[in-house]
Amino acid sequence: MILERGISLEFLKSFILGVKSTLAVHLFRAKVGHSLFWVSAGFLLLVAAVVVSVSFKNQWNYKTLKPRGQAGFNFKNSIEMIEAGSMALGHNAGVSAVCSAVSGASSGLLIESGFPVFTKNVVFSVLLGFLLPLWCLTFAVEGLGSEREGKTLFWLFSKPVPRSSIYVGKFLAILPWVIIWSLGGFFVLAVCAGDSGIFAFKLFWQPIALASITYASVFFFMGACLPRASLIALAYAFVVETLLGSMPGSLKQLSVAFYARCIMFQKSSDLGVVLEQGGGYGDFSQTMAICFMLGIALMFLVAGIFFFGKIELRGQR
Amino acid sequence: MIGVSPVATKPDIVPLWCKKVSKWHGNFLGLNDVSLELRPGITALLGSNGSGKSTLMNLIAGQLYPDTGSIRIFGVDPWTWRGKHLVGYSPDLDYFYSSWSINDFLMRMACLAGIESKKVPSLVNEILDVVGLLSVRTTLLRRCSLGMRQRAKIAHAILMDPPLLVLDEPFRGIDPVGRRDLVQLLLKLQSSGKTILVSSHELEEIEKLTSQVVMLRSGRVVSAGPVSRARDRLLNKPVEIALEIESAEQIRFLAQTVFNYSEVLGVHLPEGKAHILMVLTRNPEIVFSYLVKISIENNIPIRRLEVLDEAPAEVMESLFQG
Repeated sequence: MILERGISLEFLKSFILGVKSTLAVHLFRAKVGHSLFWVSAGFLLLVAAVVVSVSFKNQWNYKTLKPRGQAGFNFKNSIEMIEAGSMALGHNAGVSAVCSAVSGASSGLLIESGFPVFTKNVVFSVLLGFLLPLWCLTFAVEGLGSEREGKTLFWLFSKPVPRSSIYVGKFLAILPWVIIWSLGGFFVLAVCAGDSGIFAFKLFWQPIALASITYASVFFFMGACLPRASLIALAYAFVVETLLGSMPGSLKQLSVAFYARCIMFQKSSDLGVVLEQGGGYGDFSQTMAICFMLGIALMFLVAGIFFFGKIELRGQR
Repeated sequence: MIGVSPVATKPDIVPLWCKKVSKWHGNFLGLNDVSLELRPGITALLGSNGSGKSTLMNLIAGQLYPDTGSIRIFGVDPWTWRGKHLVGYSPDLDYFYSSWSINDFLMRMACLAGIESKKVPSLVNEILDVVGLLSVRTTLLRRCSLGMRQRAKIAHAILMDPPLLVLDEPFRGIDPVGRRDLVQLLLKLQSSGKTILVSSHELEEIEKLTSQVVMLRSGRVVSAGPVSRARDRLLNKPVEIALEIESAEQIRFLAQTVFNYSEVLGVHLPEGKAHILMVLTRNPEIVFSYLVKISIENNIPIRRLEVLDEAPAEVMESLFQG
């Protein structure tokens, strides 16, 4: 028992030393010049340009959008019809007052509808379904994937520290980059969208950061343990996060984005804004969604530590 | 000084202890039932390309895990992080963090190895001086010559001052002056009590370093010990000669006749090959002359004559020349 405790303490010390030294060496040395980085930066610029264009036309509201299931008229047209009806019924003071109140309240809502429109069209679909996985894999896959592909893992494996500490140290080293890149990208889009975007950023930065950590763990695992990790990660991002994540029914629960959307849905519902009816996002409480995301992150971290510890450097010559 | 199977010593008191180690690379058996023991001093690991030298070195350095058997460095499994404290490895690979300078590389490697940060700069300076890279320390690794990178690898191997050094082809790409310096360095390390296993095709340098050799062939240890013993073993190694003769009667006659010579250790007829006679000998040159003589005198046409194993001298040559 004493021996076991002694060994455990020795291992713990070595583990902490390994994490600290790996972190110290790699924290400020994220690889930013590779092709995936430029691809993700390019997509950020592209989406930012579209958001700026929409902001420029002042279209972050429901004025030009059509109510679901009603072809022909948009929300603005509907209010104009109510106002026209009110004028036509001008002889009845009571009816006219009710119509004016409805059209006034509706117009007010339309003016303030930028937040849900921006959230649904940019945050829910483009950011969570496409950009965020791409941004996260940009840094996470490269974390140990570049060492595998560059055949420099030997230098790490020859160090007298547990491999698990190298894995954790490297993961912690890429994490700030993933979070900064993800939140930075979200912030750029939010600023481009104006007040509605900034309001959405203030409300949703936490689920976005949490989703980034989860994606980082998933993609870091792929980079460390799978060959051709960049391709596999891209395939995962598009198939699971973009396609499955936007499918109706319970299949979307396989994606990380789903749980981030659940948290956002709850947060906006607390403000009285229902973002997407019937998406199933209300089925999970914020706490459950957070637990799911942290659970996925932890599961991939543990799996990565396990498999990384078994890697043999075959064919390094 | 070097023990070959069966290993009798307790694994925890010798610098390197390998017992019945085998390693597969897919369907290819890279190392086959290798047992070995090294004591302090320099030992050369010799063998042709593909003989299993790098596989053995990777196993000793804990970069590969044996499929069967076990390896211990002072009783510690080199695969574990504890084992990495005890072995410094200079691999025969040329992959580096190319954007780092030699100095940055060694500083970061020292940091990753857990050396106290205050001690790292002075230690790296000292090591760079030892391997002759102090004046070019700021050169980026991608701009370094092969010789400079080789020295950087050796510097990396001795960084932690481990008791066992495993150096795979350390002389490759190093100029004659650098080789002389490296030989001096290794002899100095040997005198400080280190155990050094070095593989090389540069026999001139190996001869200057040590008379202790381990010879590998097709993943097996064919000889271990002083060079003289290796030479004796190889010279005494029996070889098989295959003869193809037309009639079964002539084969039987030839077998009986040739077996009477003292140089012939044995003859046999392989199953399912009616026209083949196998002759086992330690002295193929003399047996060849006997066979020719018998063939001519008795009018026995030999369709084919083939040595199934290389002659000792050729084996020696191939081992040394790779």
